[in-house]
Amino acid sequence: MGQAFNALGINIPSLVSQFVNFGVVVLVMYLVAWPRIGRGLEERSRRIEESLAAAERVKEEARQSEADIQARLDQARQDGQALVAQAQQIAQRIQDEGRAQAGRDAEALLERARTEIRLERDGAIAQLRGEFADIAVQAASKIVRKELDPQTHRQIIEETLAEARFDSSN
Amino acid sequence: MRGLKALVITVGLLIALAVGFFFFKGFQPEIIVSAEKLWHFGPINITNGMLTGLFSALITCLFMWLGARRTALVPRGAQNFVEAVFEWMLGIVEDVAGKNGRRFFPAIASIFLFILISNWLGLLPIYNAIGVTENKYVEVKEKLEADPNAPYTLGKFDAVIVDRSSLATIGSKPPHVIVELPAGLTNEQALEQIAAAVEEKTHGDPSKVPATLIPLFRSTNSDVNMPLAIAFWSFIFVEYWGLSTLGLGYLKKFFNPSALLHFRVIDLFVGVLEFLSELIRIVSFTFRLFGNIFAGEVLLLFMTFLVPFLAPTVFYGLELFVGFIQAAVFALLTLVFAVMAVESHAEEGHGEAEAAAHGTHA
Repeated sequence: MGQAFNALGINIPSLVSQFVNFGVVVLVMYLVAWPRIGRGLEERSRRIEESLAAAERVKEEARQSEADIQARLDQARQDGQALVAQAQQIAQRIQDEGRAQAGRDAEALLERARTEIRLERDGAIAQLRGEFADIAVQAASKIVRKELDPQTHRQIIEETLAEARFDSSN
Repeated sequence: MRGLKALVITVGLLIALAVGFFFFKGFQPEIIVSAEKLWHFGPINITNGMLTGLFSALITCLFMWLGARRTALVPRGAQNFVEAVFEWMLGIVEDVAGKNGRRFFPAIASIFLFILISNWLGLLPIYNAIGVTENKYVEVKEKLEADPNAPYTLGKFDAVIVDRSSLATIGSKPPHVIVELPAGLTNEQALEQIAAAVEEKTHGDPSKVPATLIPLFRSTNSDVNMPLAIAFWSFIFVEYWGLSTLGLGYLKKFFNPSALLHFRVIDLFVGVLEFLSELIRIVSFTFRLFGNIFAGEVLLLFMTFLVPFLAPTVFYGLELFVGFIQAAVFALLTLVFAVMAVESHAEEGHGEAEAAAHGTHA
C-alpha cells in the first residue's frame, strides 16, 4: 500500500497542501464571491420581474387607453355623421325655403306687373274713350250740323260707350 | 480555383508535419506519475503539483473576485462574463437539486471552477516546458560523498546502489549513462565506477552530463494529491449536507438498529455496502480526474515529441473538451450524491410504494 502511494506520489504534505489550496477557494466562494454575486443576481432578477410587471401594467393601460380612444373616435365619427346629416337637413330646408320665397317673390312681381299692365290698359282705354268721344262729337256735329254744348255731348257719348261695353261684354 | 487552394493547403500541412517530424524532434519526454520535487523545506518537499495547485487556487479566486468586486445592476466586461458563468451554473444546480440548489451551489461551483481552471491552465505552453534541470550524477556524487555508508536510492529511477546488483541510470535523456554495479562494492567504489562511466561518455565535458528536466509547472490535477484532496472535500460536503438535513437519521442508511433487532441480515449488509460505496466514491472521483488529466498530459507530450507541428493542436482542442467534461462530471456527481444524501429513506420508500401503486392501477 505504502509503495503504491509512493509510486503515485501520494504523501501527506502534498495532500494537506492541496486540501488547503482548494479549501481557500471554497472559503473565498462562501465568504466573498457567492454572497455578493448571489445578491446581485437576486437583485437583478427582482428588478427584472418588477420591470416586466410594470411593463405589463403599462401595456394593459395602453391597451385600455387605445380602447378608450377608439370608443371616443367612434363616438366622434357618429357625432360628426349626425352633424353632417343635420347640416344637410338644414341646408335642404334653407334651400326649400329659398326656393319657396323666390317663387313667392316672382309671383308678387308678376302680380304687380299684371296690376300695372291692367292699370296701364285701363288708362289707355279711358284715354282712348275720351279721344273717341271727341272724334264722335266732331263727327256728329258734322252730321247734324248743329253744335251741341260739350256737357250734353259728353253725356251722350258716355251713354253710348256704356251701351257699347255692355254689348261687347255680352 | 477552390480545388487548387485545397491542394496547396494540404501539401503545406503535410510539409509542415514532415519538417516537424524529421528536423524538430525533441528529446523523448519522461513520464513520471508522481509530482516532481522542486525544493524542500526541512522534511517537506515542495513539488510542482503543489506550486500549480496554489497558482490554480489564486487564478480561481481572481476569477471570483472579478465577478464580486462590483455588483453593478447592469454588468459590464469581466463582471458580465463571471455573472453569466455563475448564472449558467446556478441554473443547472437548481434544475438538479431544486430548492436545495442555492444551498449546494457555492461548493459545487467551487469544484467546477477550480477543476476547470486547473485543467485549462495545464494546457498553457509554460506547463511541462519550463523547469530546472536535475543532474543525477552530481546528486549521486553528493549523496555518496556525504554519507558513504548510507543506503541510497537514485530517486525515481529506482537504481539501488546499496545492494550493488542493479543498474545505476544517470540522467534520463538519451544518451543515458548506464553503469552496471556488481554486488559487494562499497559506496566509494560505486562512485568511482559511476564517475569513470560518466567521464567516458561525456569526454570530460561537464556540460554533457545527462540531466533531466523537472518542470516548474505541471497540471495540478495530474498530481494525484489534488484530485484526492477535492474528492475529500466532496465527501465532506455530501456527508455534512446529509447530516445537517436528516440529523442522525442520515446514519441509518449505514447502520439501521431496527435491522439488527429484527435480524434483517440483508439490511445490515446493504448498510455496509452503502458505507463502502461512500468511501469508494473518493477513490473513483480521484482516479477518474487524475487518469483523464494525466493521460491527456502524456498524450500532448508525446504528440509534441513525435510531430511537433500542427498535430498537437488537434489534441489541445480535445484536451480543452476533456478538461471541461471532467470538471462538469466531478461537480455534477457531487451534486447528485448531495441530492441523494438529503433525501430521507422514508421518502424514497414512500415514493417507491406510490410508484408501485400507480403501476398496479395502470
